[in-house]
Amino acid sequence: MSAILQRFISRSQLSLWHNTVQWMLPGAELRGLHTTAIANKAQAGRYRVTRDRSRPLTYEMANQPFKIAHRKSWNSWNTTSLLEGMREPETVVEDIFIRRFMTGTWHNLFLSEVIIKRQHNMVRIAGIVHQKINAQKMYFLTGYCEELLSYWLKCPVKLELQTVTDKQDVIYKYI
Amino acid sequence: MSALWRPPLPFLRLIAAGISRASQHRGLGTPAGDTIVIPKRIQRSPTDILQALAGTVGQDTTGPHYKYSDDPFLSPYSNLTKRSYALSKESGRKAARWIREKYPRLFSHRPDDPLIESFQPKQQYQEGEQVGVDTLVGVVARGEVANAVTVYHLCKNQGVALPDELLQDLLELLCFYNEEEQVDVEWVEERWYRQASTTTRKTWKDNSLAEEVFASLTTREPAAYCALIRGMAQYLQVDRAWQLYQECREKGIPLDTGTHNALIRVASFLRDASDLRWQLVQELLCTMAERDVQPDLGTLNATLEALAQVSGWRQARDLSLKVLMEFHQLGIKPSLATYYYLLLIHCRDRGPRSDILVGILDQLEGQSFTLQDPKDTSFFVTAMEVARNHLKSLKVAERVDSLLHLGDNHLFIGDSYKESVYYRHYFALSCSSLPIDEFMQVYDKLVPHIYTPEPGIMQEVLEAVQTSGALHYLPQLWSDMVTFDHSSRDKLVGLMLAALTHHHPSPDNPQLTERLVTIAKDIWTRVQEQDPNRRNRVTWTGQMLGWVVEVVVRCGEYQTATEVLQEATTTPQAVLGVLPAPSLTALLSAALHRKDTDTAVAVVLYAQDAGHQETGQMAQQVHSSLPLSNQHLAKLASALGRDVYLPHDTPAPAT
Amino acid sequence: MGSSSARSFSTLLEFTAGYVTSVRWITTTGKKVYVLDMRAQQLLRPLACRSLATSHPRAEIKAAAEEEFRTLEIGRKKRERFTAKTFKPATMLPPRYKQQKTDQDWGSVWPAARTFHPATVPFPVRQGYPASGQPTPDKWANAELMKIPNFLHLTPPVIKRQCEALKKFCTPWPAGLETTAKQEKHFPVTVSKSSYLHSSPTIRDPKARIVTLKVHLRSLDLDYHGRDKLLRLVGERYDADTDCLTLVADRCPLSQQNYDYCQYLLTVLYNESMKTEPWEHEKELVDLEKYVWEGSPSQAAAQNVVTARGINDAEELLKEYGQVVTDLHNEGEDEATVLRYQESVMKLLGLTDPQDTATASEPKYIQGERGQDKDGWVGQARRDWVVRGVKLWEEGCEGQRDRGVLQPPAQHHDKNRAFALLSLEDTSRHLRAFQKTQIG
Repeated sequence: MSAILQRFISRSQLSLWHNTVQWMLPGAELRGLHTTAIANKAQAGRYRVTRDRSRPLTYEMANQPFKIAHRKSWNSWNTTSLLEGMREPETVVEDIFIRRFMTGTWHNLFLSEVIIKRQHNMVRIAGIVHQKINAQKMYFLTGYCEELLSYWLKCPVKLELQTVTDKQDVIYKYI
Repeated sequence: MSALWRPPLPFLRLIAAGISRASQHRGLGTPAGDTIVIPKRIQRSPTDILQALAGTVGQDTTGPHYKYSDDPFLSPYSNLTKRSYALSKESGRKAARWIREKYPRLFSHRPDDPLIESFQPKQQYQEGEQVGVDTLVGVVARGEVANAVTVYHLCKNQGVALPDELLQDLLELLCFYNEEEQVDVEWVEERWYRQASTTTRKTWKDNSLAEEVFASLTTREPAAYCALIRGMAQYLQVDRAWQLYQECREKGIPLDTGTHNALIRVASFLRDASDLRWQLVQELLCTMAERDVQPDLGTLNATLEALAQVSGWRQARDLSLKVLMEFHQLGIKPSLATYYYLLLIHCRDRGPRSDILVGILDQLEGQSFTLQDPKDTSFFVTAMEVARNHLKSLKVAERVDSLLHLGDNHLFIGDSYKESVYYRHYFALSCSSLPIDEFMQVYDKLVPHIYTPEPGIMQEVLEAVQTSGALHYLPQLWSDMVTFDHSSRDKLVGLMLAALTHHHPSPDNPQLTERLVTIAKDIWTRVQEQDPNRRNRVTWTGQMLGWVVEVVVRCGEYQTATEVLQEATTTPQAVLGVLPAPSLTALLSAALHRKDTDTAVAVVLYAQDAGHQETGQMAQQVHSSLPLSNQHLAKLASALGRDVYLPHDTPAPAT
Repeated sequence: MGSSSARSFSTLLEFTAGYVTSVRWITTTGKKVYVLDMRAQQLLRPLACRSLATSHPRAEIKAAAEEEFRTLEIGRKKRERFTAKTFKPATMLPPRYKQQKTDQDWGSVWPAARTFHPATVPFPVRQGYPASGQPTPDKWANAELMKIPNFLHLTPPVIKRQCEALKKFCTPWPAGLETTAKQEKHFPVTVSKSSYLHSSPTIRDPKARIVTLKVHLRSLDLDYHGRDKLLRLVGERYDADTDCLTLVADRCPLSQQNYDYCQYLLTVLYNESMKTEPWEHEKELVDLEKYVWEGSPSQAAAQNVVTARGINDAEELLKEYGQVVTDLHNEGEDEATVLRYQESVMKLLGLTDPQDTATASEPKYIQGERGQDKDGWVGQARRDWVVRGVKLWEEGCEGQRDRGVLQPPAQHHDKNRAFALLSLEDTSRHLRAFQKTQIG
């Protein structure tokens, strides 16, 4: 009973403080209420440095997200982000789907990110692929991906891949 | 409501006054006599602009065909890889199609507006599905044979009454395709690479659905008879076709031009002797004339085809020209198929020479063709073959080639087999006619992306290079041979080695020498390292090894020569024959020059094994030039016998 | 080959039959030779040698020379441990640009938009920020170069060629429509609409239905009333600077429908503005679209002034004054209108500028015998007149405000100020009245 009373009093006190401050500073009611540890450190797209500098990074990995448009370019090119561009969310979801599909179909073969360019209603998928499988198999996968993606997206899809003999070619630095 | 009006992006400005958009217009303030004439908009189809832009793109011979990925790893060079890459890609596409057919519920996303038919799955008809007349009409109109059969059976099971016109259409479909589902138009590569079937066996399905449909027709229209006769004739069910034809003649049922054409085409199967065949054809033509059936291009082509099948007959040539003249008088313009048959008739292997091709080319110069007959695609191949074998004239061949590359005529090459044959003839003709430098320009242009030479042609090229002495082309040719998978053919490797031996190193071409030596070494390593389980292997002959030795020794690569000798000595069963004497001599002199006693002795021993007459000489040379150890002497003595080579004053070795 | 050796050969063959997996006959020069599998080869090697070579006692010496004693292997050979297949890289030809000539037709090599490929593009290009101690990343395996859109398919010669190819779809510009003036004369109405292209599977865009119609009012055959009525009807859609009426229609789903609606709207506007409805005669002073001097209090006041001054022939003065006041109200106050007003008022009141530059050389006052000034007024009389004039003016005006004491003009060397005091208040009053007539 006393505990409830105590809580009631403290809550009213709290509300009193809130009432005085609220209309002065909007958002003030949320300040000072850190219920979790401070979590404002950016971690996206950053890789941990190893002691012996053994982690290889591609150029894409080495440049963090804030370097986009400075040292790095976008992986997805379409008209949705222009003024009055339409269909942005659908395009984003389609891009996610395409990336998963490509990475999953080409097993451990993509050495770079999947680059998606849209032009009119054509989808052009580019990337760097490792020459682990022979050319016939690559052609099979190419035909398969192009056809299946075109069935889903209802657009002609073209794959423009660059193959690389040595994985070291895409390594930019070691950290 | 419409409160928001924003200045639109000025993409299109239409200037119009009032409502009319006529070409001549008088504006509100136009004084009389001052009319403005607006030219009418030039009508264009949806793809006209794209075609105009595509017309500006020429041919690029440094890269593979557009169907391949333009990556060094993914570019095909040999015939096998070209075919396999194209077909692998297509099989990937077929796998995707299969997945869509198996899991159609995964493909229900429809973002396209307007709906694109090509991305929609094809309708499949299952048992128990409700079908009507319209379904069958649609299916037959789209030309889907398997679906048509299924739907027809479903209709019959469900007791749907089918009208006669629909049955007639169905009959025509079945007769045309012989109830076989054609390869989908989408599978371009399969169609491109499949061999045109040239069977003379009957393939018509007897007592099949077509005849059933024919029987089920309530009224036997002439069109039904026509369809059936044509189908049977096309698929070489000649007897029944002839039977039906006789039936029609007796009953007085009129048949159309196409049916008569089909019968003329199979006249050769009905009679054996040449003149009887021609007589039959003439009978058919007369019947056509009697019945007032107008002949057309098909008739001309069928007649010439019949003549081509009796082309051994002396009169065939004259008759063909007469036929052509007569049809010309009727106003029927010949197509490429006509000229194809003319070439077959006139330019036979064992017949006299005929320059009809020149006349044909004069006629056809600068024209663009449209497809009028299935056999149109055989013209260019035959023309090139005639130019090569019959006329042996590069000028004519070039005329044919320029005609082929005019506008859209390249589509008349037909399929991949015809294309490769065409280029084979052109290439071989160029090889034999042109000086080597000009020929190599043609080579650079065509090889490897347009045409990959077959081993036989490669042989000719190598021989030409050898005879002309332009050995600086050999490195390129060898690298091409390796990529085209010719390095596992004995004859070609042998020819290459023989060509290499013609090179004499001199101080002004060290680079060339180096390259040629690289070739020889490459051949050596390649053959040594080839998989022993392979079917096509190069087996060393003594002659080849001898050439290798000669080349490397002459150009200063001694190490390889010793390896060769070692190989020859240790595994003689892998070598057919023995190294010839000149190469051994050369090796010996080199060994003596370098004072390599072991090799010299080995050479002598090998020579002795091989049974060359120069062995004694060689032994003497060795003995005189180099100091021999006791071991060497022992070997030599045991091989040659003491008295054969030793001079008389040499003391006998202590054995 | 001696019979003994042949026999031994055959027995050995039987013995090794279990090991022989493949036997091939090769006939060379008429001699049949066994060529056996590798396993058996080691056993039969000396015999094979013997069969190939001419029989000679030397063979035994050869055998004796070989030191090692070959082991006879009975039973299956131990299966070799499976090792990972060593991946032998395929023989790849050099990249394509090495075969390209410097004078090749680039438009045929790169005919359409394509992702960058280092083997086809002949020049060495680098992209990227270099890692420390490294050069800028080169074109091989460079994803950055692949990401950016390149325009290798649109080099100037290719553009020229494509333009030439497209010319056959173009028609010439009509003769007689060279200048904008001519275009406006013949085609005064401009209709514009846009179509939109997005990189998506659909071609629909709702903005494509918007149709804009622009016409200059001078092209429409309107009289004064028609123009006024039209302007009242269209309101904001008229731009006075360019004299352009803009009608935008987006209320229908299709652009054709919106176009028809625009046409209809223009027709209706025109017809309605040409008509005069009976209720339009009920227009009042507040509805007037511009200031009319005739019948206004300003006219009455000016008339008063004229009569007070006793000028008989004052038609032009009044007319000029009326024009100036109208301008001041209709066109707004600016330097020119105010100056004109000032001059007109001065003329009306018969005043001269004491600082008139035309008489700069003259002394400020021409004192006459009786102390007259330039205009013949003497001292107080002038002052009296001014005050009386002002009073008359005040009586003529509507709004009464205490002006305070008005200083006689002789003490005001600043000519503008005096008359400004007079003019501004009057002007402001009139302006306020005029504003009330505006449509809110």
